Amino acid sequence: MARGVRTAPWWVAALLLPLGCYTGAESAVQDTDSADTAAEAGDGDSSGGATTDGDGTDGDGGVPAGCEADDVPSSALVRTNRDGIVNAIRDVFGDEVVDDLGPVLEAIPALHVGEFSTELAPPSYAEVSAQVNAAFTVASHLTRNDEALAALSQCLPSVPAGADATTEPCLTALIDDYGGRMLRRPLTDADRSRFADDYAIGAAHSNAEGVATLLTAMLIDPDFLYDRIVGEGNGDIVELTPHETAARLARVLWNSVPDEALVQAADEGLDDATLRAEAERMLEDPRARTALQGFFFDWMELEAVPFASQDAVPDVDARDALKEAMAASIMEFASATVLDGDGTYADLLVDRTAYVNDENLASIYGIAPSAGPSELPADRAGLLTRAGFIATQEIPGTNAGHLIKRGARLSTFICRPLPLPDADSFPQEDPAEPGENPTQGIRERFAEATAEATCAACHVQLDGLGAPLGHFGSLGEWIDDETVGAIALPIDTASEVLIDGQPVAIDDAVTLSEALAFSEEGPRCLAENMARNMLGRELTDDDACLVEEFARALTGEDGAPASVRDALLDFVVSERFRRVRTP
Amino acid sequence: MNTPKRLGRRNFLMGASGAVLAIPALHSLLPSAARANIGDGVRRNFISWRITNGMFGHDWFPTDAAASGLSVVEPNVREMPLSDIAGPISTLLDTRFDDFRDRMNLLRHIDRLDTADHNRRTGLFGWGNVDGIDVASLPPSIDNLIAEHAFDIPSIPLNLGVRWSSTAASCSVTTTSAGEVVEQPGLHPAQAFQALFAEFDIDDVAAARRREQKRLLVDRALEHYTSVRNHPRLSAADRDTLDEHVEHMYTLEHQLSLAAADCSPPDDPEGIANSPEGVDARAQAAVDIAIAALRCEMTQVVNIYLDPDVLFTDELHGVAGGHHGASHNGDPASVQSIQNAHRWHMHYLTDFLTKLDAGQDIVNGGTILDNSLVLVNNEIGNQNGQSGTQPGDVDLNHGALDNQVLLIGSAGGRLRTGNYLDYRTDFTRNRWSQYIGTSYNWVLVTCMLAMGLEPETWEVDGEPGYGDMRGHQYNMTPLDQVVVGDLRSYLPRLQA
Repeated sequence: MARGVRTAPWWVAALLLPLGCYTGAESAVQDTDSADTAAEAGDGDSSGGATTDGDGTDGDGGVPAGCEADDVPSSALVRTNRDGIVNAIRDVFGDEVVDDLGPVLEAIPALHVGEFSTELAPPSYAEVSAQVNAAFTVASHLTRNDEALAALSQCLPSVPAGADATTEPCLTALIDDYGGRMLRRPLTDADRSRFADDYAIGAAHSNAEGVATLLTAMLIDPDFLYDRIVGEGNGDIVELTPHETAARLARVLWNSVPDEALVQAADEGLDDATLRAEAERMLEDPRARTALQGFFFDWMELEAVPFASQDAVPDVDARDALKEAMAASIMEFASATVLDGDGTYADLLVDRTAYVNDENLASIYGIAPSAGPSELPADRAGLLTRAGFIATQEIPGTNAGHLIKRGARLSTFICRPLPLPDADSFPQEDPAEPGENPTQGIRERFAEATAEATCAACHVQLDGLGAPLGHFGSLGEWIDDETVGAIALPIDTASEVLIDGQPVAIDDAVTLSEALAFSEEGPRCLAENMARNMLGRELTDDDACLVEEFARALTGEDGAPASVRDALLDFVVSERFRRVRTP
Repeated sequence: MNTPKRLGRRNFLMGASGAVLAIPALHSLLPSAARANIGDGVRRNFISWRITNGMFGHDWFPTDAAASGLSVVEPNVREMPLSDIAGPISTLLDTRFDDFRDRMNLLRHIDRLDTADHNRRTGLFGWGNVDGIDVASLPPSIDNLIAEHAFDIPSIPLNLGVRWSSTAASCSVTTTSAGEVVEQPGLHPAQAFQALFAEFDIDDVAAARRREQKRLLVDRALEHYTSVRNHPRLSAADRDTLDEHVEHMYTLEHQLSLAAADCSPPDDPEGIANSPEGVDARAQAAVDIAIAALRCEMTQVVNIYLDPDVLFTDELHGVAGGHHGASHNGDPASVQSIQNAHRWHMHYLTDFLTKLDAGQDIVNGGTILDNSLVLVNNEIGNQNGQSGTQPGDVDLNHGALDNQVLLIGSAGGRLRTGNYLDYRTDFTRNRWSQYIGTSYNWVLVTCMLAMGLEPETWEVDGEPGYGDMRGHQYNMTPLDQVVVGDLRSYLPRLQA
């Protein structure tokens, strides 16, 4: 699956958080003082650093309590990731070039530093050189013969060698058209002059090579490789220009550049109604589905889906297919729920609709494979009971899934990640493995091994979240009993989990899903992660109000949760989306 | 776009007299749909390095003790990392290969299915002893297939040899649509130099021009990045990010300027005698011309078939009676001669590899060697007996079992490297009680796949297979006692 490479598993990210185990909700917003305080107090305040009154607003036009209109994120550069580069090339130049040049584009490193593929570190030499190489190769391919040139612009093959790109009409139009698309804004005279000089480099040999060097220059331009806000107005807070708003919208919804319709709307000023209409149109586009699936791929840590063992699935190709199907099925469910079904956060957690066309995955679920939607058995709910999320490596000697790994994944899913213990604290023998002890199940073994207070502080959460999934084997298949060697042991899935700061009795996977589905902290965590994905960086105090506004949009009014799609729409047309704080 | 200037086909085909030696079919009429490598930005090269007259396994392969780490990794495949072999890999693969251990694969128990003996085309499976075969339906040797189908712009194989005469020393073969077998001529170094570099103008080489264009673009972009970096609406952190970007672009610009200098003509070998005294200088010239042609991007396919044979002498090279003559005798002096002949080949092979590995391939990453695939082959197999590692067990049958196959380079990351791979089965069935191996046909298919070809490029009438699969004329293994392979996928354990 061609997704970005995750640079750090959950536990590395967890290590970067302040050490200690929290028994209450902790926000991913890095206001560590308030988060720690709230968490340590276990008071159920999960507002992520922004305090609210009873209805969650300050009664001032829907602005979250404690938030002013000027509480907007800073205007940090956002690097275009590999997918964004590829998507932009596809959207501007067509499918063929991307299909033909797949390997050279995939050679651009896709390493990211955070949870999301949008979170990039400053570029490495490997990235810069690969970007330049890819740009040059793409540009050469697009200009390889007269037919290709004509596809860029009908008049191009007739441009004489050595033409002046500042005056030759075909070339000036080419520069404006493609330059504007790639740089996501109307060109300035300085841009035009610069690109004309770039054309001249290759034009010294031929017109085609001139166009190639021109396109290469566009593809390595800082305004293509970075989303940069200059804004309108003076002062600390500036409005995004219509084209900057369009660029941000295209990046967030499509991970690409604006299409011609959006560019035209930006040319005409992009008023509120038009912005909303454009956002709605864009959400109907398949690119929105792809981008949203990418978000869920990262958020659900689907790159970590394990391979089935050879015993479980003997054929190596079938094992590959199963791993892919596990991830794809979750992404399809999530995107369909949000974009087709107008689903809420709760729907994501309780809906049993599934998209399963892989025979082995269908077998895990106990349903028939189908090209369309199916319904999972009643012992499953939404995202949290999908095989791709709960599958763990097979544990020798037992059919059980890994209690703690599931607890850890769920902890991250609800924005309450836990640090790894000191290596010295690990017991000599891994409690996950039954070893010579056939009398205890995995839950009992961990309970015994982690009874000491220093371990128990975290294991209360880990075990509590993992235990309700106990009836799912290592591949996520339903198991009636937990086998340890030849012994079959009963499975206890009852637990107690802190949700919104309050202990909640949980019976099984379905009740756990339901409890989180209708919690406050669940949708808030989704809001934090969507905001983080959009901003391409970890959240800071400056982002608290943006997150809060999005969380409120997800939670909805009067206790009726809003659809994720509507919340997303409200979010991208909000003032807070269109303003930034400058340095 | 103008086609980058490359050597014209006629240049390769012109002999010293200027007459066209042969017109090979270019297979431009073959299906072009299978150009899987087209558009892949990594510039890959395919090089075949052919050694002749067979070899002795005790010189070429690790000893049984050194190979004790081999373990079965899947049916009919044993494997161990070459790095686990203490000391030299073998007598011939000595410490000069240490720098390449992690980037090569030494294959064992690779058996030919073609008609054996000195079919000089079999290193690349062109068609030699073709009795009973409808030649018109057969594909050409793999170098020609790769040259025609693996790249954006079809390449032309450069065939280099030392011993050149009216009989072409080349293993590159194609067939015309009329069914005529056309042997691509080998060039001795002076011919190749004339063809490639006589009118060499570094400023007019397409590769150099493209690099210079790239360098100028990066140089200009640097200016623009610096201007953007100083915009007042950027934070300090943003400026740090752009500073890093700029720093890397400086490095890239510098590297591109160095890379352009990598393309330079070799010394003109004119005047080197076609004699035993000139054979070393000729071999060196062939290596240097091949390196220059690859670095200057004049070709992406090179066949090196030095083949000194009678130019070897006992006095100068420790090879009595010529290479071929020695290979038919089992006396200790002849066995030593064969080892010396191989040592001579290894000297130039390692020189070639070292030069191919020099400097970073800035455009593609890695070195040119990393992005290439070098196939070392031999048209005759292991002349030892059962284990192939016992010096006293000599069998001079000129057979085709347990061949000399070394793959160096990963073909731009497509091959898994660094291993000693033994493809023998667990049966001992042939009449010398030798292990049954896996087909060389599969090796060639693997090379084509690694270079980006699809099976339809080489298959005839959609049937799986490549090359002569009739079995051996010479008392060799029946077809059903060799692992032929599916001939549509990589040899096990070789795909990255």
